[in-house]
Amino acid sequence: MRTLSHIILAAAILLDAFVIASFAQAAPKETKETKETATITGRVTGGGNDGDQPLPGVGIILTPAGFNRYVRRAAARATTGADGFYRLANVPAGSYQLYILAPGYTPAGALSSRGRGDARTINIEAGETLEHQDFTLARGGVITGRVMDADGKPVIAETLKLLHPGDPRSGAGNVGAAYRDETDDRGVYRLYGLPAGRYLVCLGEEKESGAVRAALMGKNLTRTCYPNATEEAQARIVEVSAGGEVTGVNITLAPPAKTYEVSGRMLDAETGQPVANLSYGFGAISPGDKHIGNRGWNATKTNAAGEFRFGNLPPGRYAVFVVPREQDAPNYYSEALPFEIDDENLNGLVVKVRRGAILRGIASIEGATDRAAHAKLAQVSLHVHVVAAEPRAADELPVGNSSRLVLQPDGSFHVAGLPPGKAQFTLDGFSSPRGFALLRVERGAAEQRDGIEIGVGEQVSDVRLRLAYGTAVVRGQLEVRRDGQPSQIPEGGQLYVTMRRVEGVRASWENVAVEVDGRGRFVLEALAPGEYELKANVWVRPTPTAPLGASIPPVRQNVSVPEKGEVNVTLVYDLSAKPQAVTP
Amino acid sequence: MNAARRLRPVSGRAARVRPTWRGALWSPLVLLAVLLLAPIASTAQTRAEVATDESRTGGAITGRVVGEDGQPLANARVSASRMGGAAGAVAAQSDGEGKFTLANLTFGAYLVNAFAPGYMLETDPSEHPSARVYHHVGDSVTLRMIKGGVITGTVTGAGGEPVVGVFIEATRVRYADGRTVREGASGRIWQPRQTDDRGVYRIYGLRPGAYIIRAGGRTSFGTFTPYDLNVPTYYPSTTRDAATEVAVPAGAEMTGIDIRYRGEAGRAVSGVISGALPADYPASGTVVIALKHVSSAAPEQYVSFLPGNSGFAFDGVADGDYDLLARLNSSRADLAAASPPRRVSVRGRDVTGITLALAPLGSVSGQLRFDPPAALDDKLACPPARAPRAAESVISARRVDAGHAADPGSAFFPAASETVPDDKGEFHLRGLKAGHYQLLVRLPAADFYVRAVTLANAPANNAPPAPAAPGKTARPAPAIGDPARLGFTLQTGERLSGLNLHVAAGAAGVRGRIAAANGGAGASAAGVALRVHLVPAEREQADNLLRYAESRVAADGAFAFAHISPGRYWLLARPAPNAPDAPDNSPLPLAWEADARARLRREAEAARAPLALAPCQRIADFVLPHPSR
Repeated sequence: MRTLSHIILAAAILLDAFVIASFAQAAPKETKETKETATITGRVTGGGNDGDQPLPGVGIILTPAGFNRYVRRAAARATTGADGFYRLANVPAGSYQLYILAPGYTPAGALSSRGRGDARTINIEAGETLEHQDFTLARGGVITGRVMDADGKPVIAETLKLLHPGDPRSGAGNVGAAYRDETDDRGVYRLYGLPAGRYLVCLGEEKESGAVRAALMGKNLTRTCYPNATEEAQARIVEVSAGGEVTGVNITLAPPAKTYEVSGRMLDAETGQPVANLSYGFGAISPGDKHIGNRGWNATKTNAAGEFRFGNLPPGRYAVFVVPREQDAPNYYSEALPFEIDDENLNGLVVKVRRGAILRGIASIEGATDRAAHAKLAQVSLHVHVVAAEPRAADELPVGNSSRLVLQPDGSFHVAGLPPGKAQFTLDGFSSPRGFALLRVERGAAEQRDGIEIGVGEQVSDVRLRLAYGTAVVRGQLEVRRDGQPSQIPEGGQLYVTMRRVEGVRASWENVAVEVDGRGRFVLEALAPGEYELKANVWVRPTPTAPLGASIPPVRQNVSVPEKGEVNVTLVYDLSAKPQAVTP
Repeated sequence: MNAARRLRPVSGRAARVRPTWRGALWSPLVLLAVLLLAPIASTAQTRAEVATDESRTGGAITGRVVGEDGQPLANARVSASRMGGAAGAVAAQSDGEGKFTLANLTFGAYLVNAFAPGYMLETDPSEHPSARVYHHVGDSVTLRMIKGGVITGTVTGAGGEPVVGVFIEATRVRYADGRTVREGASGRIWQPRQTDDRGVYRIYGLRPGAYIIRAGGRTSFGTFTPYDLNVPTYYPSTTRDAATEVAVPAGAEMTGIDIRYRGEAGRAVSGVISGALPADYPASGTVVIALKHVSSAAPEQYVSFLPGNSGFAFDGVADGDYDLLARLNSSRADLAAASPPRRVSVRGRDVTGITLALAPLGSVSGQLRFDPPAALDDKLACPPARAPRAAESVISARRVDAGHAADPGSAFFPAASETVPDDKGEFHLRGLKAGHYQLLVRLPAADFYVRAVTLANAPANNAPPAPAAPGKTARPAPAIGDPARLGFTLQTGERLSGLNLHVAAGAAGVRGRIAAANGGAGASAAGVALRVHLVPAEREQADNLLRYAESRVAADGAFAFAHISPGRYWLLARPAPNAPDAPDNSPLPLAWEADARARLRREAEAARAPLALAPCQRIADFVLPHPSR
């Protein structure tokens, strides 16, 4: 499913200029410098040989913390003076992220950089002055070269991928580069602002995870690392120093994999008749895996003869299945039909599709007094996912699709094309308005803790989803101790607090996580009422020996949250346990 | 981009508060992508799924991709997007011979596009929006691609130091033939580039024409940069009004376009939106506010107005005069709204407290009806190969009143509002401002023509449509222009319904050319742009505007008429009414005005170029004398 998001994001990126402008900033509130506001000061140094020169002209930007889907505005901005000092005045009390804007530089000691430098969480109250918010920067390195394809033509507008050599997740461990990381019309690229280090410089899609995306986008670039390696062992490591420039890092892409076409028909399992207008998708099956990994689909549907078709597939194992994509799609589901492409087109596949079950019901908000909550109900993003009731045969692949419930303004919904099994509901906290949680799922009046049992083609019409809504805030102070004494988290460590409901329907997406600031403060906002578990956790930045970073065993504490208002919490984090390297 | 994505895993699995695909699917980026496209997409929202039982097989659009030299272009990505269909396109890749097949397409009207890095389609859809070409199942298409031009240079600060990571944008201000770009957003190159660590930038994939280049300012890319509160610096080191144009010949590389960055602080322009927003806002739409310099064709900045914002604000605005306009883009016809444009002057300080009041927009709905086959002449020489489908048609409304060009709000609206009828032929054109409109109907095949236009439940109105007075929208009577003339007038927020378009088979067509003026070369050699008019010869059709048509005359003298009702006509060549550099898509057709129509008929009769078109007849080589002779 990640594939789809990639495709959509890729599409969105084409529109970037048009689009992103629109979530531009709202009017900064004009606030007089009084006791009602706070001040933040600090200094930016680095760049010199001893790393301690003041850096003038560096932008400092303060943005509200917490993820708001729409508003992205700077609460305050400043620029460092000749002495490297900056001052952010008139800051209203609140939670913020503090960034530096210094293109060409990288946070000192960083292993990776995405251009913003490191963001720092700051919780500040009215009348406070927070000093010594200092940053040390290093000059970024440069890697530049040209990418040609196997025929000697420039590879244009493709993104370079920087990997750490030996990273076990080398596929996912894209270091990224600040700013320009794309080839131009000559195939030339120039990555700058890079942290000093050793890199593999690569381009192209990964074999398995990239195949689906590549097929859907009609791209066929074999992952190749400098100079012409398709395997990491053959790739040459590029070492760049702080402020250094490595030129001539030219890549010759390996010839594209030969691709094939797959086609077949979708037939009603009962009648044998072709089924038209079905949306279908396909996914890659990792070697030895029983799951469909990356998956995707495009706008095509089966035609009147029930035919489906995919092009551009490199050899590999895949599965095709029906995707319940639209509200008014035909009410069918299918199993995943695995197939393997070797060295020829594959035609004549037959996917048996079956009449789906239909769930109807209503989502309602429990006891919420806030009228605004009801107006937002239709925007709550709920999903239903059906888990097969019986254990599957060894060779059966779970499709694993989930369908989004489209809520009417009164909370009613219906969803069709469901397979038999246990229908489980989740609330997607990322896309929903803030403050909602899914408390209970009921059928009739009875709670269905494990989900709603649905039979083949069954029509269930009495589903009730009970939601909670609240605007409560948890304000916390975290005390770090070691052997009973006040202490500090390790160098390069970052403290996070996550919050999870202990009652109601479990859904990881409802989790909220925030970074604890330098003074041990944390704030979690827009919480629905209920019992929560707070968990504090230290994550230590990657180092060359622990490229995924390290973590320290967490501490936990329960907290009861009302519908509105504030709760104050103190957490004690004992660091006596040793950090453990994170393993993939 | 957002806080959720910056969070790193705390340990193993615990706190992966990462956006899932669902998150990404509805991320604001995508949401806004969709909403901002609404001027096009929402008007084309009508669902037009072919019913399962009658869909029979759809089919394929095939064709070839070729380069400037006509040689096949391999590995180009070709896509077909269905008008009014679900989002997403069917894509294919051209093979070694440049051939492609877009298979498994349902019946509909498709826009076919081709992508190859550094290349672009030779026909620029933004240049003549009314000349968009739609394709249908069974079509074979040749897509010609040209190599884009390049502008490259270095951006330095006052001390000659490189300006690193500043966004550079190119805006096309002139077409290759020197005409000014006037149409909305067509000049903007939506592909900002940033300077590298040496201050070097390189913009590629540019259509031939003249560009102005800007560095910095509030990026149209949401990323914060150190330069986004600055006034943009235009090449070479100046303001927008004084910017030097960079002419880019086809495929050329313009080097040394160096910019000395000024880094002057800009001003803020801020305000609020008034007017009723729907209760479920923003689920039902988004208000987008645009800021446009009075002298530019396209807005320089967009922001959206969303709940939780205290208002809207633009930053990095240079001194000057601007128009501001808010528009609610929504898929729901009853919600479409826009504010009147508001002029503001920025003079050395911030402008605050502007209120933009949303007012509802109008709509037109009706039905496209194919005459039943029984009514077709059995002996029709060109019986349709298959039953036509309403969903293969595209209906658009183009504002043509004299006030349109003078209305600064026009720059914020697409040139035409488009829609696709559903399988019953029902259509809705939405988001229309008050004004006089021309209805354009694109039919599935050359076999069809619009036979009649009727307005259900309305008295016939044979008075010629009066063009709207410039600057005035309030008029005493609901002056619905005679629909038989493919035109209508809308008051603010008016919803016109029951407009029926009757389509018949057996259409005729004629292609031809203007005989050269003094024995010399083609029509343009005379130095006057020409237009050919098709005028009905039958007296009883004298006031039937469906029998009139106009054709631009190409540089080589060629003209063409298609989708013509059988009948007797005269052909008449006249000088085009346009100023030479005006885009050829705004004037009211001459025949729409009663006096001009009568004059046309007189001149046409005198010109003695009669033409009789039988059903299905296609004349390919009509030669019309040059009017100067």
